[in-house]
Parts: sequence; C-alpha cells; structure tokens
Amino acid sequence: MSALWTILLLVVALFLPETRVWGFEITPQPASGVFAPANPLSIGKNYDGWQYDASDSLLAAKGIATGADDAVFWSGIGRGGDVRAANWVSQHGGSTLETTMAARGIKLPTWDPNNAATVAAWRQASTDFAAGARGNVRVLQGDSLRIDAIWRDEFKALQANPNVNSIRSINPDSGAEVLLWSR
Amino acid sequence: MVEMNKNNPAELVDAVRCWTGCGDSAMPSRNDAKLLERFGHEKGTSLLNEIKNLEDDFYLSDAHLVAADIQDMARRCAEDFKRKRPGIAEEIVNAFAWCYTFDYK
Repeated sequence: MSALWTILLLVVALFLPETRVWGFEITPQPASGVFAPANPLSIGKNYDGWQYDASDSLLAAKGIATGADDAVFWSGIGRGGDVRAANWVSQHGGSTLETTMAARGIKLPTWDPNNAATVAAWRQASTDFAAGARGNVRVLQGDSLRIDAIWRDEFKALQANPNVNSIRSINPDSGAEVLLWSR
Repeated sequence: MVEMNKNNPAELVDAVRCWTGCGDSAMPSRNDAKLLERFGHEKGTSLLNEIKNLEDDFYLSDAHLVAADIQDMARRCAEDFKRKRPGIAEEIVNAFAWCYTFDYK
C-alpha cells in the first residue's frame, strides 16, 4: 500500500509543473491591464447583451471585424461626430464602428453617460472594433483629446493587434494627416 | 444674449427629444426630417431653429477638455448650459448632455 502511495506522489510531483491539464494546454493570459491581441478565439463569439468583455466578445461573432485598411475611428471631432465620420467614410472609403454596427444589425445598449455599465459596453465594443481591424487604420481627430477618451483604449488595442500595420490620424476639417504609429 | 423662447416649453421639450432621439434611440440621431414630419413644416422649422440655437449654446461648453471622466463631463456640460440658459427644462439639458457626451466619449 505504501508503495502505491509513493508512486502516486511521484506522479503528482512530476506533472505539477506542467502547463497541461488533462491533455489541454493552458491558454496564456495577458496580465491585468494588458490587451490580448485579437485571434480567432477572442473574436467571434455570440452577442446578445450589453455586458461583455474582450474574452467573451460577442460582437465579433456578428462580424465586427473589418477588412484590410477599412476601419476608421473617430474621436473629439465635435458635434455629431458619428455622422461626420460616416459622411467622411462615404467619401473616402472605410467603416466606422457605428456604420459597421448599422450595416450588420449589431445593437448596443442606449448610451447613458451616467451608467457605468453602459459606458463600459460602448468602450468594450470600440475596443473589439480595434481588435478586429486589419492593415492600415485611420482615425479622425480634432485638435484636442479628452483625458479619458475611449480612443485611448482603442489605440492600445490597435497596437496589440498583430494584424494592424499602422495608425494614421486625419483632421477631417483640414485633411492634415499624421502617422501616429507603425509596426 | 439669451433669446426668448418662441415655442411652447412643453412642445420644445418634446421636439428636442424627438430631434436628438433621446429616450428613443441608442445614440443621438439629430433627425430633421423626423421633427418636421411630427410637427409639420412651419412649426417644425420654428422648433428646429430654436433647437439648433440651444445646441449651439450647449456645445460652447469646454467640459470635454476639463472633465476627468464621462460622468464628470456630463455633469459639467449640463451645469455650463444651465448657467447660459437659466430656467431651461431639465429634459432639454439631459438630451443635449446625452448628445455631447456621446460625441466626446
């Protein structure tokens, strides 16, 4: 009997440091506050509600991901920013989060600046849109950027997205372009 | 200078909510056609002019430049507007704050 226990303990000791659990490799997790790059597992799950996170991103399942050089972000471009951005992409090509959602029938909760969960849902959708971008990304920006702007999260998600090559800022009023980042 | 209201306050509240989409859509819509359809061309045009004047005043707020977060921005822009338009209906303030914070989120 003691020999049996010895063997059992030996087996446990040998397999303890392994990163496999019953034959399944443990999925590496990003540290807290670090964006995981988009991959076929992290984008493309179901979206029914408005409380979701990147690891359970349901928007992409309905197709929030965009084609190469297609994604266009906007931030701080003033009144009616989403409409201005939509008009801009209709002239210059591309898709914003809002035009993509409208085209694909994706709905987010009603915007409510005083509801943290709703703000988080919009922030998450924006981040997912960044995680599903490919190629060269454009962002329409005004002269100033708010401290807590959602664009800051989008920017980090774009940088962490291995499918993104560059991020270019465009002023929709002047047309001036600035390369913000490239791989 | 504060312009005198030309329209009935209750009607103006209704019109602002109709035009912005506040309480009806997930995000601001600023739908001129919807407003004109609802109130008719003459009344709708009058309301639209007043709404756009109010919106111009609301967007003079620099809340997006100084707020720490979105909730703070909502509070600040509402306060700025109330100072410019004392006695303005709370529903109108909230509707424009809804639009403003969406634009500057």
